[in-house]
Amino acid sequence: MNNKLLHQFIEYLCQQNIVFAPQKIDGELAIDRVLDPKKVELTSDLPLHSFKKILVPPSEALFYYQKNQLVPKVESPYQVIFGLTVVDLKALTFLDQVFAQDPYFQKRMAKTLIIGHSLVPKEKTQFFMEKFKEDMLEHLKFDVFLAVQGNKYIVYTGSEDGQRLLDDFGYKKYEHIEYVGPIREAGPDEQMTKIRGKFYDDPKIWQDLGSRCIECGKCTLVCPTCFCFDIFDQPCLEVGCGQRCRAWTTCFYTDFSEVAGQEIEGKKPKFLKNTEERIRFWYEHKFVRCPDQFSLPGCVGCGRCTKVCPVGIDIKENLQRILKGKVK
Amino acid sequence: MHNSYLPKLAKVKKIVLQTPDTKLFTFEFIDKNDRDNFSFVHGQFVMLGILGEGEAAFDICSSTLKPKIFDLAIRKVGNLTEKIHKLKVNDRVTVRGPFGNGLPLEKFKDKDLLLIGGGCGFITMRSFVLDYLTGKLNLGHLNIFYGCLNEKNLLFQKEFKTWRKKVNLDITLDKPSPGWSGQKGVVTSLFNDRQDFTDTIALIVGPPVMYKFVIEELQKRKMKDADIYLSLERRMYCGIGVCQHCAIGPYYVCKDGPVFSWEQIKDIPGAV
Repeated sequence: MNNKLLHQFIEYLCQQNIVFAPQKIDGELAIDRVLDPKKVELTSDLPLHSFKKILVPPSEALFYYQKNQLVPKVESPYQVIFGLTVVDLKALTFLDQVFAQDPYFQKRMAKTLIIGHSLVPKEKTQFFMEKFKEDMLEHLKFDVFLAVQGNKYIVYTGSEDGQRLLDDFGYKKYEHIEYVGPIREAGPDEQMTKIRGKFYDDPKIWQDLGSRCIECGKCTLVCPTCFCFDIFDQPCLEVGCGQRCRAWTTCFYTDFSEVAGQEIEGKKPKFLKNTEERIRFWYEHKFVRCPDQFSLPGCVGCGRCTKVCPVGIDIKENLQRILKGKVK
Repeated sequence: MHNSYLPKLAKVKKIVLQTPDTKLFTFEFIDKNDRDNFSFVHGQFVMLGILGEGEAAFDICSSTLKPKIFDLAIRKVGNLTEKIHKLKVNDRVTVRGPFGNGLPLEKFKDKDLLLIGGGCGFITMRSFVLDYLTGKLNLGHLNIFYGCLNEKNLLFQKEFKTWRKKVNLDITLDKPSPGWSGQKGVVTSLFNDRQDFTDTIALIVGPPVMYKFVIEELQKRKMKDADIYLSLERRMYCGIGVCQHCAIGPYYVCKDGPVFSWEQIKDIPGAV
């Protein structure tokens, strides 16, 4: 597929569907609803916020209620997310594992066409990020994938929906790749296994980070794999009606682990008691629980968390420090 | 695909005031299918909610042999429990679950069980006792240590007479009234000169501060870490190991717990 045809393809997508894609908005690259197909960018740069907000919305209704009766949620619309880098496809593949049994996520996925490409961000975080190779495709979730070669694109499909889309568009020269799951035949990521093994070796790492982190939670917002949430009821004005919602939260907030009970020095009892414990908890999720649960790291190495951190906490440095183990 | 977030509707069937701040609620599912499909094991919990107010986790404290109705003893300690205390018979609630692993009783055939409960932690013990009284649990002796603040706060008092026919129940009060003739002090004071815990499994449920001291007492008496079980409390939302609120180290209290052996969690920073 050449550039001209690609632009026709993007226009074709926009005629039929709601399309989200990276564009420059007020000078910043962002994934947003496409209103002008010409503005869509196929770039190795990572938008600050990933596709996450589309597939795992910041807040969504689980169900509605009306006078003591539960009313199911309205179904989400068909949509296309265009222009995901391999890094973000990895994050999406990870979230697909986390929400494998989640009807809300899976229904949304079933109605979303994912179109990825092979450009890899220039910044190297050294962790979990690698150059595109064809053999990684069978471990990524996508419907259509564009492997960039010079000014041409080799086109792959990863699902029947992807095949149908290209057939309808009238493009036949694609190769089909069957998704075989996120983990390679060679086994789980070696870096991940090493970090898991040494995670608890040096407690000083967390003391140091605890004294620097200001618990703003920005890293969790931009992280394409952070997904933790609260569930709460939101009544509406009509008596007895409302919705039960789930919404993003961050484990850096002090109420994250709070429980009911007698207040201690004016504060509610909580299990993550200070910044040190909370930042360790964040790393523990990504590099202990995710590896144990899914054999996948909860990090794709995109470096977004480092970019937004107001106090300069660098995930690369911290992972290197964990790998170094306890320094005597 | 099963939707774990969609609750079942239930109604309040009975309310019994236990202490000045704790009520024992009996709930029944509205739908017959929900009644028929509900079953649970000792130590499991449900997410109980009121539409418009939200949900929270509560240990089930009735007999596992009568799952068509179930009891929750609820202390008024926060926003939601305050609303729950205002419920009247026939009022509607939402229920999800049961969740969690419970205590694997089948593994302890003919062993003695020592339940150590502090404050609200005593609630969890009731489902063990009620089933033990029927004689259908393949256990040896059932001993209970119950640490409570004072006489007024003793839970399930009216049932003690029946319990004591088969169960050895020892109570200590931290701040009893002058007339109290029983044991005084925190729950560890019940250990006294008891030394023999061979062939015993212990389950501890109570406020976080209690665990360390009780475990020390059990270890002094040569109890193995693998025989000491704890039921942990955490903030919970999803109940199925996704939302992260209840995580400890590599585990989720809602899914891998709430009952853990001390062996399993002793090296996890922040577990107790």
